[in-house]
Amino acid sequence: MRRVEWAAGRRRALVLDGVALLVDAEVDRDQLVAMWDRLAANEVTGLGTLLEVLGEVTGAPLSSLPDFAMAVLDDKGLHVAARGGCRVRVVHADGTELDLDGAEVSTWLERNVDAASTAHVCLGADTNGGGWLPLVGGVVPAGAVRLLVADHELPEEPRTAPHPVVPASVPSSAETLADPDPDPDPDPEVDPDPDPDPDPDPDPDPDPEVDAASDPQPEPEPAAPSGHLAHMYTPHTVLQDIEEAAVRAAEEDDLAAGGLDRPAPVADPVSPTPAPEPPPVSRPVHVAQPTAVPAAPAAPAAFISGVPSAAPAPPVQEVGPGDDGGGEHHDGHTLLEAPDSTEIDAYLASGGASPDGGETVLGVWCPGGHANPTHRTECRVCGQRLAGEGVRMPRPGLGWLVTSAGEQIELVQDVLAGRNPQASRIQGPVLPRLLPLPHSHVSGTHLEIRLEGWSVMVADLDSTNGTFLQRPGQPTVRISRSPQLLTSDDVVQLGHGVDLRFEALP
Amino acid sequence: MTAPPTAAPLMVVRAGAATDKGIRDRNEDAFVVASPVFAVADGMGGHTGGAEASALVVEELASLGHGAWLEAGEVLAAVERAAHRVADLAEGSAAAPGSTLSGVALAEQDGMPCWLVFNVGDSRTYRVQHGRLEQVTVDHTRVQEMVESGRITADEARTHAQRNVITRAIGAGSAGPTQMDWSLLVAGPDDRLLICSDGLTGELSEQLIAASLLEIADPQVAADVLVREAVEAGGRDNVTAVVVDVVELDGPRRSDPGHRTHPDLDTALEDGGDTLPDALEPGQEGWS
Repeated sequence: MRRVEWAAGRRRALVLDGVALLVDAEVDRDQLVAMWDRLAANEVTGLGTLLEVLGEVTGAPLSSLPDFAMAVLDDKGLHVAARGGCRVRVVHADGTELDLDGAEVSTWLERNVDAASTAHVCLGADTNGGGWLPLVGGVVPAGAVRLLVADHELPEEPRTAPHPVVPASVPSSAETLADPDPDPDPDPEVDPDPDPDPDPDPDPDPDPEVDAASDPQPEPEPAAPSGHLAHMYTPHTVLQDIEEAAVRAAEEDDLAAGGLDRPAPVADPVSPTPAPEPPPVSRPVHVAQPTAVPAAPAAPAAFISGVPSAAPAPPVQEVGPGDDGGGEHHDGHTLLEAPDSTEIDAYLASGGASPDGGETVLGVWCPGGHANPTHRTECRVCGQRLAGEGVRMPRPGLGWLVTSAGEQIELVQDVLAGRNPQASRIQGPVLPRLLPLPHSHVSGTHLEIRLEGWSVMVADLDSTNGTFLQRPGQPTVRISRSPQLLTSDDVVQLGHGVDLRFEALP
Repeated sequence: MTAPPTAAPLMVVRAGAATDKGIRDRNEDAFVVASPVFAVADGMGGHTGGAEASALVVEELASLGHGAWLEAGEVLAAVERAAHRVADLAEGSAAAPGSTLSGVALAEQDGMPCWLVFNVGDSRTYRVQHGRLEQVTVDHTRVQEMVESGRITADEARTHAQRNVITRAIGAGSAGPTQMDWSLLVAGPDDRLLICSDGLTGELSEQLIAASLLEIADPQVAADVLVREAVEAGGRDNVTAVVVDVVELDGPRRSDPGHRTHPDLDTALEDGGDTLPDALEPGQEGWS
């Protein structure tokens, strides 16, 4: 059975479901409580969450995090890390050990081990045999923490814990922590372990041991581990096309839906119960079928997805996890995973891209050879009267953008403007123009000028200080994420005199 | 009609690379360091197919390794050539070999030195700028698509059973033109890029990757250390890292006497990347 135990000492231990952290006392009470709150409110996956939270509550950059030892047990396995004077020892079921000494490197050491073959993990120095007490969760003044991961074996020692410290509540542990350290020890590394180490392996020279331990262990790691985690360990990357993936999801859901009579999946990620289902991804590599959905270079609306934080709005948001076990999810899933077919249809109907990657538009040529939108009666360039059929033509420049710095940009492609603009996840090799506006009040990628057909539009990209449109004779309005159509003589303002003026739009 | 820059843009980079097969039998990763192109390819497919596929991909990219700048079309053409050759590997085999590809080309846009980042599959490109590590590419994995469609959360994705299922690849039986994602970033004078296979990100936390990249000045040493640490952390997959540093950068300085405010380029680029908040609203002083 899994258990977490702690032994008193001068460091601080934070223990939560699946998480154990040992830090030096330099991490104060308020920081630990803040960390507790953050970790209790968020799912912890891997070491990243813990490291991120530790950095946030201490305000320390990655290069100067406090010393720590940590262990996270999730369904990918057991993850441990050690920095500075805090050590980690992993004892495998076969008795072999892995020692991590964070002092070996200037950053820290990380290891990912197979939880199924791990007996226990010890953070901090081993204490003498009598000091270990169980702990469900809390923040305690500990010298060491250990996780008894599997029921393979428990370290043999007197388990004399008549009054287990079950959920050490934050207030009480905080109280303890708030006590001034009676003996501010300049070297807390020595103090928590004053007794001779009864550990059967008190190697005074850690080097040979460390070397041996850091060699790849002869674990059964390459083979899929037993237990219900087995399906997590498909060792090789496989390719599935979107449709394939969608169908697979439905099958999984079917299994889940039909499995009501089975025991519910337990939260314990190391439970060695045999997997009732075959590993779902052990099928051979799937060939991406040419599907009804064209592998088109995506819809125009997706050309610029703007800042990475801007999650593309899913048209199918309402079909969430709640569709599990539903009756019609085969079709539902297939549609879900496909690219937005209506946008693709619209894109194809509009003529798509010309062979050189540029867009085409429906327009009318004036006698002078100028391209015009079909709704015009005289040429937008030379004023000659327009007649004749609309034809598909390469899109001409749609006018000019003039910056307040005097730069003139012809509107032949989308533009991303900002302090440090980035075009992210563009589908296809036609890239937008980046327009740096080096001012501290301008956001990194502040706004987008988007060309669609004959239209020039502006959209704010969740900028900090906003984008505003000044149209002659009208009050200034704030631009949202929704594209706003621009006309000639519009001025887009980013504040403090940083303006973009639009001229000669169709 | 942008005013031509006074001098030709200049971008000099220095790169280091390392790879290790981890505990796998063979290394199906490959990389290319041939300025102006740098990339990592992670092969897949039975027997030797995966290694052959990734080798073909980097071979075609390496053929672009001359000159100062590349355009997206040139990179795409090389990828398409590679895709045809990878498809030829598939003959008669049940599992068609394939490869991921992620990397960067030095590109110039209107006189500005830029990073042109490209991606197919689940290899990744990161940028370190202002002391922060930022993932530029977005994985083409099934779980990523599920996150974006709102079906699972980002947290759930990290442990999802099928996070190794990729939805785009070069070869691997995929039909039609290769669907690449492209990103364009204005290069900064202190930029460092990391291109890596999922064997690196699968073993090390992003925090340790960031701390290592911030701490180790030499790009070759940084690549070596990252790969070594990932192998020691578990090495369950092949591990490859390419680190690219800007050594010299010269592009147009966007200042103009006609501008109404003082361009504070240095402030803007050295404040850690955060926009200074601005309480000013239209109509207040300071607005035109």
